[in-house]
Amino acid sequence: MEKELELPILPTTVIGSYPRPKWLREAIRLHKNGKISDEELKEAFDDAVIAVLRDHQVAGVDIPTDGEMRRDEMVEYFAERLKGFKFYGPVRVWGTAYYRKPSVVSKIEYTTPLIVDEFKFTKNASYSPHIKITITGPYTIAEWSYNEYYKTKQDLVFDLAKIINIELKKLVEAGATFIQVDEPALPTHAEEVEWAVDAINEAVKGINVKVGVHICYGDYSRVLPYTDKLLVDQFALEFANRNFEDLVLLKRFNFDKELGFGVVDVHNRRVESPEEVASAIRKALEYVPPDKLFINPDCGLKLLPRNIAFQKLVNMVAGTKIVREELKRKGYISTSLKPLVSR
Amino acid sequence: MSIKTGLIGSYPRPVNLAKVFSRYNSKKIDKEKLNQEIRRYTEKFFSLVKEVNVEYFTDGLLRWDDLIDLTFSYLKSPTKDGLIRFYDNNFYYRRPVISSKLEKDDSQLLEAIKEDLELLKKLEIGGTLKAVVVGPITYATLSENKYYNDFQKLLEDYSKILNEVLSDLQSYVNAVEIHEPGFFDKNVKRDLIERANEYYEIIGKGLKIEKHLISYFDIQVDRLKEYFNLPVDVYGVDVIENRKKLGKVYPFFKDKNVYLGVLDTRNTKMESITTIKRFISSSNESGAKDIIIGNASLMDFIPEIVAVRKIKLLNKVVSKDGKRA
Repeated sequence: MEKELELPILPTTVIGSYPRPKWLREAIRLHKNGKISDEELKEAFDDAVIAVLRDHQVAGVDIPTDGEMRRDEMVEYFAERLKGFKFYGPVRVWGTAYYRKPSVVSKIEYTTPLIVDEFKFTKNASYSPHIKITITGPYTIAEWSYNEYYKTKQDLVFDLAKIINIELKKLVEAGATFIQVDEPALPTHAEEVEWAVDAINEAVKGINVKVGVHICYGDYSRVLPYTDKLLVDQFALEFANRNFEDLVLLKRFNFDKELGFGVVDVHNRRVESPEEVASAIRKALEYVPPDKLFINPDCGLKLLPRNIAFQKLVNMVAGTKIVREELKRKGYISTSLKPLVSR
Repeated sequence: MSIKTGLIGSYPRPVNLAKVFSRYNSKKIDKEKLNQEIRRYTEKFFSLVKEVNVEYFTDGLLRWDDLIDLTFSYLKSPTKDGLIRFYDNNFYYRRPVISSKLEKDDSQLLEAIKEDLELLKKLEIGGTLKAVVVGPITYATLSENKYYNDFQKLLEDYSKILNEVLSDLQSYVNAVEIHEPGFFDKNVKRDLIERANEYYEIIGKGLKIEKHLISYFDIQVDRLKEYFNLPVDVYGVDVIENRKKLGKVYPFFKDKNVYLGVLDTRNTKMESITTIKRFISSSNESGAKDIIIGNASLMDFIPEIVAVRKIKLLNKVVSKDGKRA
């Protein structure tokens, strides 16, 4: 088993989403207009996952995802599949980007597996034995929904945590070895982080495979004090968007977990060169030991044009390889997907 | 005492308008076509204003990506940086980077206001159109300052520019909203709050238009004294977000004109008319002069369909009070 979980030093991965091919967007549009069937749309999604995996493979990514091809958005996808949510309409996140922010109108209930099928398909289609499956965390689902029903947000978050725990157990049963809980909203309210961390722990309870948490575009100094308390193996954080200035926080808060290091900016169409990537990784190595460093983009790539997203991955891998060679000379060869924390 | 209705800040930018912006950003349409579509959607918003008989309103800020984007219409020196969360919302703005002395842009905001006025004339809408600007504390704290060694100098320069911008606008509009959510931001230091009066003196110098000070989100009660001492004509309070603190807020209403943010723009749940009337009644009992009721914060945070329902609620509150013909 140990050998199966082995990875090259500085494993490269993605955060989750990837641009949908233009033809998939067209298929979704046709499906919405009743021009193609559910079955035909499913086929289009499956084909898109294969296309994304191929992009990841050509780029040289060690741990791919399915690009979240089936998910319009990270909260609404789950809200659509759980009982208790209602959608009124799209809400803007920035500029011209929207999502259908759900409203909680009754008690949240788990009625059917959420992402087990998509995991199984990706696992079968993947070129790599290592794939990452992402799931939106309980705090972020609650924070990015309107609460019309629960007395407190805390009540809502803990109900969601229990539901996510059920789903994670099913994913492990299906063979998942690397689960990433997406919690970009976690730093939003400093006064809520403590109990939100408890809720995430509730969600990952008993999950003894590699578990990461992804946080981005927030004040990390609100979360990093809870590094030990949060029972995950890895923090996948965005850094490139802020010129890597937040790396110093890792030292300030004695960060000693694995870092998923955001090395390319997903909100900028300029493609970072391999040398820039290598330079950023060397900077991160001043704060994190090589065997605890994973390399990824800042966040999901889905808002970029596909050719730019692809080139960013190509250069991310090329830049990583430069540093990998340097580390090999120092005796760092491999790392592992083994969980580091007991849950 | 009179009770009026108002709408502050932004109206949710319709998805179809966002698609037009995307087409413009991808250079598939030209600026003229974009402006034509912005006018069309602004006209729809003004029609809603007319239907609900709102007395104080903005143009919905449909032209701008966010509140901070608006500042690029009257400042030409800052540049746009990466996306940053707008306070504690799942809504992001591009942070302005100040790399040289702040300079006023003479035309963009003024042109936008002139276009709004043409639309209002065409639609035969009365009421008061408010210009919108960002307050100095909010602007300074949401920007990245790479130029000013003295932070006070940044605030002074910004305040002087606001004064010039508003001087230009006062031939066209009778009121301005100064958005200052940063006033109650915990991260803003106390000395800045204590000096706020100086900046607002600079902003208001020689101005005859009504100045509506708009704040939203969580209030720090130990800053209320400074807030209600600022030299403005109307003081805005996010009633929804501060329900539990209102007992400490109401005493400051005495002899002031107040704007009560009574429509929750961060939740889809509808407000009860009874509750809104209770807020009005308590404000009245606290000695408030004129009261304007409206949305608590920017409407970007709720779906358009919900925003419309909530806006229509305003009319019901005021009509049931028998204050409207």
